[in-house]
This record gives sequence, structure tokens and C-alpha cells, in this order.
Amino acid sequence: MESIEDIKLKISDKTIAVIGAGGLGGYIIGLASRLGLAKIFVFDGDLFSQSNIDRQLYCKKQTLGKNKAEVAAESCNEVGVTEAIAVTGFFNEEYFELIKDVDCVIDATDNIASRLLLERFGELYNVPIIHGAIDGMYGHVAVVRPGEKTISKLYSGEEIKPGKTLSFVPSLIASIQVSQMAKLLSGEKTLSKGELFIVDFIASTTKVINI
Amino acid sequence: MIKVEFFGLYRLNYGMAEWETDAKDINDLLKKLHHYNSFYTVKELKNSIILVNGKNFMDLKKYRTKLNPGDEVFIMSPASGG
Repeated sequence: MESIEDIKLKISDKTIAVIGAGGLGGYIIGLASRLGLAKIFVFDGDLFSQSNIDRQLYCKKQTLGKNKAEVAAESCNEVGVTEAIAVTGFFNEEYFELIKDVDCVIDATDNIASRLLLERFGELYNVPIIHGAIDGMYGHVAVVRPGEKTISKLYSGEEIKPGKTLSFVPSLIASIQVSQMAKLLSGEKTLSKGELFIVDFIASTTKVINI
Repeated sequence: MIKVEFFGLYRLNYGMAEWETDAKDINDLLKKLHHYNSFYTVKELKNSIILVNGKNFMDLKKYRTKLNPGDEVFIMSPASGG
């Protein structure tokens, strides 16, 4: 592995998009904001509400009712080492053109349909996706390069009603996603095709399975 | 017996990490699981990510994938929160 300084240098001209600025997305932007990337596009059409306060980094009394992407981007810009641009709409095909040149997209969405759309975007524009998802006391991460279609393999059925979660679940999964993004963009070894890094917070175990 | 390991919401909502049963195929296994604990319907369980001895059942014969004593089945809920 290269030195930390080499990794920082290699990612300093990279642009990413983070789709979702809630549970996973808030922590992803919080971590990515300090890596010194060139630019982050932050997408979210939702507003912070009281029910988000137990697990979403940028949800606090002062931000209730505000757009999640705007709050997260503002915080990133306050750090001052990575430029953030807020997109205050839910990601859809109309935004494909806007982010077609990004180096990587981080999936912080909260439903299967959005994840399948992200995979389609990645296929169309040859952009890798750092997929992450959480539910209850569980989370997982995968690196999905164009052509691999890991997201379609994971989500071949319908959605199951998501379970309540706690702040330490999205924060750890977000951290793993950001580590995979930084390693991928600096040419380091990441999770391979079909590998799913799973974290079980009940048994306090991690595992990599091949799907 | 077939050794079943649960991940995701299943581990939380079933309150168990592992379970052992006899089943002739995945279809039979899901029915037996629902009979043992009715928290999820068979239809809901059919949205699961299932590995049989480390192989994705979608690459085998899906719900008709035969099971034999000693097989290890990994069942995971399709986590989609973010």
C-alpha cells in the first residue's frame, strides 16, 4: 500500500457524488469532507425531521425543516478542504448528465429502486459505485464496477420493511464506504467483484461473502 | 440436518443467529422457517439473499435448489436502508 500522503495526493483531483445525505450520507460527507477531494456533489430532496435526529449526523434542532443536501454541503464547505455542491432533488435520470464525469458515486440511498437506478447510471457512464446499505443492527458494503452488476444480484426481490437502526450502524458502514472510495480512487486494492463486506452488530462480527 | 445462518433483520427479528432443520430444497426450507417462526411470510422470505454452501442460489436452481444433510445455507434480508 502507498503512503497516506500518496493516497491524499492521488485523490486530490477527484470528484465524487454522494446520493443521499441522511443516515449513511451524512457520515459519508462528514468523512469525505476532510479527505481533500476536488469536489463532492451531494444529492437529497428530503428535509430533516425530528425522526432523523437519532442517527443522521447533520440533523439537529437548528437544521430541522432544512434540506439535507444543503446542510451537508454547507458543513463540508465550512471544513474548507473539499468543495461541495448541493443538489436539492431526489436523484433521477435527469441528473445523469450533471454527474456523468465523476470518478465515483457513493450510494447512500434508502430504497431498492434508487440503488438499481444508480447501478444503471454506473453502467451507462462507466462510473464505479460504492454501495452500502443498513437495516437494524446490520450493514454491508460492496464496490460495484461497471459490468459487475452486484446491486442487481443483491436486490432481485422486493423490499422488506426496513428496521429501526442506531447511529453507530450508519457511521461504521459509511466509514467503510469512504475507505473503499479513497482506496479505489488512489489505485489501492478494494473489495473485489461480487464481494460483500457484512457487519453484524448483534454478534459483533464482520465477514466477506461472495454473492 | 441443514445448518441455516441468518443475517440482517432476520437475525434481529428471529432472535437467533443459527437454526438447524431438514428440508428437501430452498422452497421447503422457507416454508419450514415460516412454520417455525411466523414473523415473515414465505412471500417476504422469497426476497432474501440466499447462499447454499457459499454459492448464490440464483446461480443454482433458485427455489428448487436441492438441499442435503450437512449443507450450509446463509439467509440474509435485503437490507435497503440508508
